[in-house]
Amino acid sequence: MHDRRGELKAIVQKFAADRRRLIDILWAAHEHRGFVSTDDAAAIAQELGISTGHVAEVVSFYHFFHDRPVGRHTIYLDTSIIAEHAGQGAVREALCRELGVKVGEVSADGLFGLLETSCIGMSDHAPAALVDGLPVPFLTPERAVAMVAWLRAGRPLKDWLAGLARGDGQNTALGLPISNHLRNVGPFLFGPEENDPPVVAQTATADEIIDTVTRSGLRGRGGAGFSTGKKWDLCRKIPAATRYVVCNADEGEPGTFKDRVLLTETADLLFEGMALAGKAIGATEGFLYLRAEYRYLLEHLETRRREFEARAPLGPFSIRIQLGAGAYICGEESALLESMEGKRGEPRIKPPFPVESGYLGCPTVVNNVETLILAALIVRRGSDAFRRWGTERSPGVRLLSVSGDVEFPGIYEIPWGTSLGEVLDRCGAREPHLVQVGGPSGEVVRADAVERVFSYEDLSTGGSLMVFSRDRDRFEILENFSTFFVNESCGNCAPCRAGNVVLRDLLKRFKNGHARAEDLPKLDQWARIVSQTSRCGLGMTSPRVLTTSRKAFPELYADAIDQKKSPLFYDFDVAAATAEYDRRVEEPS
Amino acid sequence: MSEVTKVGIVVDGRSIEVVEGASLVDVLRLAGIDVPTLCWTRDVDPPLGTCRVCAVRVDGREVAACTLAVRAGMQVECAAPDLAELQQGVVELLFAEGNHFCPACEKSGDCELQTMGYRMGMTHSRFPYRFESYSLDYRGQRLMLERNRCIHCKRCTDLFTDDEGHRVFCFLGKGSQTQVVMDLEREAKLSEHKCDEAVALCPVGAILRKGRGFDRPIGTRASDTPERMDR
Ligand SMILES: Cc1cc2nc3c(=O)[nH]c(=O)nc-3n(C[C@H](O)[C@H](O)[C@H](O)COP(=O)(O)O)c2cc1C
Ligand code: SF4
Repeated sequence: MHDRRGELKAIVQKFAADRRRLIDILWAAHEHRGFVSTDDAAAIAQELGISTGHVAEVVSFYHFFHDRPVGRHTIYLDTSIIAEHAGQGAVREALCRELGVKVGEVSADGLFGLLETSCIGMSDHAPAALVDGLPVPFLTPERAVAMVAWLRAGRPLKDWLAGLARGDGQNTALGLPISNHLRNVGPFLFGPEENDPPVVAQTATADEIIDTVTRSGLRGRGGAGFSTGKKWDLCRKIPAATRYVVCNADEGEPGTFKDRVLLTETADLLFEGMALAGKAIGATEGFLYLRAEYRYLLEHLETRRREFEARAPLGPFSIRIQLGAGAYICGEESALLESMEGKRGEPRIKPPFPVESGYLGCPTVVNNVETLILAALIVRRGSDAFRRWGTERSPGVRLLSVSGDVEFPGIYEIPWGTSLGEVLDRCGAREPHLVQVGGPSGEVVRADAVERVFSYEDLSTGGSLMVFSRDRDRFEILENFSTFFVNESCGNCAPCRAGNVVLRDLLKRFKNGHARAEDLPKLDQWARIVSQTSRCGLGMTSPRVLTTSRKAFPELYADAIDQKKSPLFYDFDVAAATAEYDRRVEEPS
Repeated sequence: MSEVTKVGIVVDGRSIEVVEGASLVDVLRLAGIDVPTLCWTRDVDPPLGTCRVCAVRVDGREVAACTLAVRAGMQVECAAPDLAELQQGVVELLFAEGNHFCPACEKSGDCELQTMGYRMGMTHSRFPYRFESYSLDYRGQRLMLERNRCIHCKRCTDLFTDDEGHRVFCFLGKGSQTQVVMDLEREAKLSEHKCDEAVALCPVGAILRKGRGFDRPIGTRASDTPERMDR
């Protein structure tokens, strides 16, 4: 009989029985069997000298960890609104029929598990799914069924994906049928690297690096927009023996995929940026926290990492790639650090900020992928080369991930200061009506506000730009966003855990035509309670789905008010009341 | 020995001298301002910071007072009506999320959530009650979990350990699906004293001793006394 116990013991030993490596241990434990049973959790806990509950609570936190079988092949359908609009619904139906399952179930033969997950960073290939960790682009019901047949025949998924290549563009770096969709290259980030001076930073001192990055005016690209030079300077000034650099590649904001492309195209520059940050703050160790959805990039990144470490252009600097396990909240820097320490990704209390007390309590710089790559280029080319672009207060360039109802979804490099109208023109927006800037946590913008400008003062963004045409149901879009937050709230704090459910239900009331005039002021009042009391950025920004859409489209809400319905029964939802009946009737007897 | 430095802060327009680095909740209570709290317990560092009921405004930004250490020159607002609205809003969210049928609860009268509701003059929650069915866990030897009443404060998961220093309570799942669970093997080995400690640590009636309840007559329970009500 297979010695699972011995196997788990070996896994734990491989990580030196270090409980901080629990995420890696759990990945390895999933490798052979696909899940970690209660017995497995107990065995791992015993080897690590911790409570079984501790292991179980980590397993239960992440989308890609399971405590029961999820099929030999596991299919995760992307539930982002971009995927839904592109036909994910039909794909879901076809798969349910073909496999004889509902979403969340495993086929009777144990071969297939059909699951759902939040945006997988493939909005330029929508609708897409992750199958056994690999991205399957541009799904159709036929394509999904063909894939199932292929896998049933016991053939490798990679071969089937190779067969797709012709239509979808083959990515040579990855050997996968996904394209980087670089629509707008240059003027700075994807500019010609050949003209760069050979890594001058070799000789640059920590002071010079920080000075150059600060003068460039570079601000973080992960969302909060904090000055990168200042962050590095703060970190190095905290007295400590050990400091760390962490690159945040957890890119989870629905609609973003720029980090996926950067990791594929410019991994060397990223490692250079991390080593530079290390040199600036006095760290010799760095971590790349890679979201589990991008696991298929791991091999490519490891190769590049080894090359970089061997070259060591900036002196010795070691990098470990830490795989996440599926949780949007782990993009929040302190949740990310918790996850790196082998825990549930629940955000810490701030202050102290990571620059003061980060990974293992040591001063830590956490930066986004794009930030670190820009920093590397800035140090190579000088701060003026960066400041040439953009505006006085928002210097430089930034990447947009454009998706939705556009001719050319993909990556656009724009100087800050570019107008919304220009971007909509360039990407071939089709009758745009609602534009979501910065993802669900960002802002709902009217597409006719063409004069609005991408900048820290106006449309400051984490890089996601989702375009929706006039024929889309706006409430459907908003409900999808709101549900995303319900699903991704970590559950640590009351206002976000309970409040996002309440906000989603309020929105649904408008969507379903059950809202009454007195519900209108609740939109802002309830949103304020959640945003002003939540512990982290997720709960602070999630109510913006309601508040910014109401501001952009006041008539949308006003028109949704039901004038006629009896005041007694305005909450009565026929669909919900008869759902159980429908379920039972549909159930195979 | 660490030195104590006094610094000045301003609370609702009043200047006061406080110990630098002390928890803002402590400082405010010493100054006679009783900010409401649920998850908070004294001397836990870092604080749990999960219930978010202690909303105040510091230098123009809303924060949970328990999560902040005082610095010189802080401008603190506690009395503004919009803050009371936030505080009560969060408590109402908790009432809407769980199933709190106080008259049937063993902890009634000794429950911090119930007391908070009375204190804020709440008659009902403005938010639609979810009426979700949460499960009970009777499998423990001496403790049971009544999840309908859990407010997810994390006192038990983060502050409670058995005699060997191991955690006994954990969170399973995430977001609105998060539920507290007990490590049954460790629970079985808890001392009588430790069991009572767990029950007392729970601010509501979610962790209970099996076979016990309603042992304090009405009139003698913690929140029956006028002092407690006026706090
Ligand atoms: C809910 C939430 C999700 C986040 N997700 C990401 C992310 O995926 N990538 C990222 O770089 N930053 C993300 N952030 C921001 C990080 O907390 C942090 O500010 C950022 O990584 C700092 O890097 P920067 O200064 O280079 O922007 C997120 C923040 C929140 C509140
Ligand atoms: S705001 Fe939401 S995601 Fe952030 S700590 Fe609170 S529950 Fe977790």
